[in-house]
Amino acid sequence: MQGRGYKRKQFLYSGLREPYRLIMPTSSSPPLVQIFEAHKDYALGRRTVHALRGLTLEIPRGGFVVMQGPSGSGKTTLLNLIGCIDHPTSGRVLVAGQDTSLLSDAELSGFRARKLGFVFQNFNLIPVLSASENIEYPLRLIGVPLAEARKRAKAMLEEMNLREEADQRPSELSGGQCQRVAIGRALVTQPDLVIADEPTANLDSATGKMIINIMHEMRDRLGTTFLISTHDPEVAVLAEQRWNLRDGILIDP
Amino acid sequence: MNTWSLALRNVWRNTRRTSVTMMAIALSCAGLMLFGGYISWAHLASEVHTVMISGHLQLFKEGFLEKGSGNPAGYAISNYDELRDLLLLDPVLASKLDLVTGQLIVQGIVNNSAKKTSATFAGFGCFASDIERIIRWNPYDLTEARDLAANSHLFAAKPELDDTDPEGITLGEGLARVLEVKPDELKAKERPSVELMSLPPAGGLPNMVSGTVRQTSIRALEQIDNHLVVMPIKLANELVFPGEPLHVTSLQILLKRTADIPAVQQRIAELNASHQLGIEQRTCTELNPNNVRSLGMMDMFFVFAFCIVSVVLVFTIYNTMMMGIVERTREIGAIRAMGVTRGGIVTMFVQEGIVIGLIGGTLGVALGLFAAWCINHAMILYTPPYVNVQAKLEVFCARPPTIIIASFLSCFFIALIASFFPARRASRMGIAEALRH
Ligand SMILES: Nc1ncnc2c1ncn2[C@@H]1O[C@H](COP(=O)(O)OP(=O)(O)OP(=O)(O)O)[C@@H](O)[C@H]1O
Ligand SMILES: [Mg+2]
Repeated sequence: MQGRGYKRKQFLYSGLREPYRLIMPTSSSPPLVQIFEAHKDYALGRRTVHALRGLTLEIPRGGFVVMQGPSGSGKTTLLNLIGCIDHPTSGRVLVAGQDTSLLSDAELSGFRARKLGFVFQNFNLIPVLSASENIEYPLRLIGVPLAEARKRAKAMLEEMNLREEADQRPSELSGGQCQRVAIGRALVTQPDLVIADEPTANLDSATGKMIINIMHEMRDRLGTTFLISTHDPEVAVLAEQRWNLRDGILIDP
Repeated sequence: MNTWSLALRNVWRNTRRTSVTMMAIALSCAGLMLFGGYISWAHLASEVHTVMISGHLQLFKEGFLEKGSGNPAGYAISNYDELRDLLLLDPVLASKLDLVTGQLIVQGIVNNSAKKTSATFAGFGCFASDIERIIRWNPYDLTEARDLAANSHLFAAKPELDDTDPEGITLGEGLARVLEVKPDELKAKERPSVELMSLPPAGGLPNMVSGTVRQTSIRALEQIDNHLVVMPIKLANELVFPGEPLHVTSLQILLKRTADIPAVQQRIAELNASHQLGIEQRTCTELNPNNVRSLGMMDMFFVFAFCIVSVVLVFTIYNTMMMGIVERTREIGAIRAMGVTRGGIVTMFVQEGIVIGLIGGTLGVALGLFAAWCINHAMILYTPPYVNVQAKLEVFCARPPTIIIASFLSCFFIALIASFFPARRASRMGIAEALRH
């Protein structure tokens, strides 16, 4: 927790507003996510909603990106494109070097299972599974044998400080505990990128902060890239790279 | 955590809805079992009934069925004993035959001189002990009509004929009324006596024999009831072939198993050809076509009932699955995002359908067996077609056991099919939309 994270915090608090440019040159590997001129239109009755209007951006490996923007600005839409659960109307989305438009639905499913993790606003845990089974679930999806999956889920629960809650169902857990299970579930497959759409919106601010801290810490420990959207300015404090979305375009923060 | 235990847990998320759906499956399964079991009983009962009326097979002299009704004795078989031995001693037939007996149908005028009444009659001459064996043929252990208290008044205390009573005859109740043979006369020590007259088949003056009335007995068809005389075959022979060896109008054959009919028929046809017997044969179903037809009708009822049950069940299960899917839209979106494929979603919901089908079907089998047991022990009586006796309602769910298996599998496959389409719909939802739900 100390070390890099601490320094970065200091670095952020120091008032430098654009860590993006500072980090980029030091990263030698190609960016994890690249988006070129992405548009996304929705048909809403006879009207067309332009949710995204030509976005071009990159996320470096190991980045901790926070996206802010008012309701309806296109945050979820953008996360869906990067999360390979939706396609842009035009433009290209590359995740881990893979053009997502070239993959079939089944291939995309496999791609998401191996490369991506998701954390949702309302947790979306499977209610009939215990905390540890929820964490096992994505491992079973990528074919990890049961015993091995159990072991890794147990380790992840300890990581999330949820050893006591291993056998409890989501309905028996608090919001913060649920979100920790969800983070564990997203991370257990060791994905390249975790996408979290407003992960703190259903939590009180102290818990929200704790959740963001955990994510930050996990980034430091595992090197997983995080992409988080939020309304909450306090959450954005930890960001190394901050995007501001307005009406489907990125604006300077 | 495997997919089946996940399905089992998901199925019980909405306990009430799942219970209702499983109950619908169980009731359908039990209903099919009971209806199937009743039809199975009806098939067996009809088989026993037709055999009771006519044996498994009857052999007639060629032409009897076509032209014999006006002069049955004219088409009598004169070498009864010879023919009977031929059949009973035949190496192919011996093991399959239970009984071979003869019948002599005669007709003429019956006269009650004490009351100065007379009527035409249809006489049915037979061997008392043989006929008793045929009407007691009951290989399936059905509850016999004569054993029911409700029918006791329909069955005389003593048999209609007795081998030791060569002149004792039984009259149809209608005929007894016409002849003014009163019930209390039958109880008297001296039995009422009647004269039976018939023209000999070869022509000439009528013959006459006298018989004493043992009792009267009711027949379902008025036509028969008003003319029937059941008499010892020797008396009938004396009436139409006085002084001659025993003649019969037909040989009745009782088999050990109904399933042997075709084989026996074929062998008899061979014997008929090789020995130039000049006979024709009829099976019990050919002789009682109405029984077969009413069974066909029942089978159709079953098909209809099955279709109705299937359709209702498909919609019930479809509805349950669809409600579950709508409620779980966001969860479906989430696990799709986590990498579950479309096929994975279909599998997941079809597995839930299978679990519902298996549990519902199993409950249904238990329920069906229990209900069948209750029905079989409840002594529910009704009057089936073509008989005037009451029958006990029986359902044979487990005879054959295919009824249980088929009912169970039907419900199971209905659950499978009914869950497939909602599952496919769930798998085709857009992930982003599902998550937005
Ligand atoms: N499936 C859809 N059909 C029609 N319009 C849509 C659809 N999804 C999103 N939109 C529209 O696109 C725009 C961007 O929506 P999006 O959900 O990305 O915003 P957001 O920034 O995530 O908002 P919030 O903060 O409320 O979650 C909105 O105007 C929304 O109404
Ligand atoms: Mg949103």
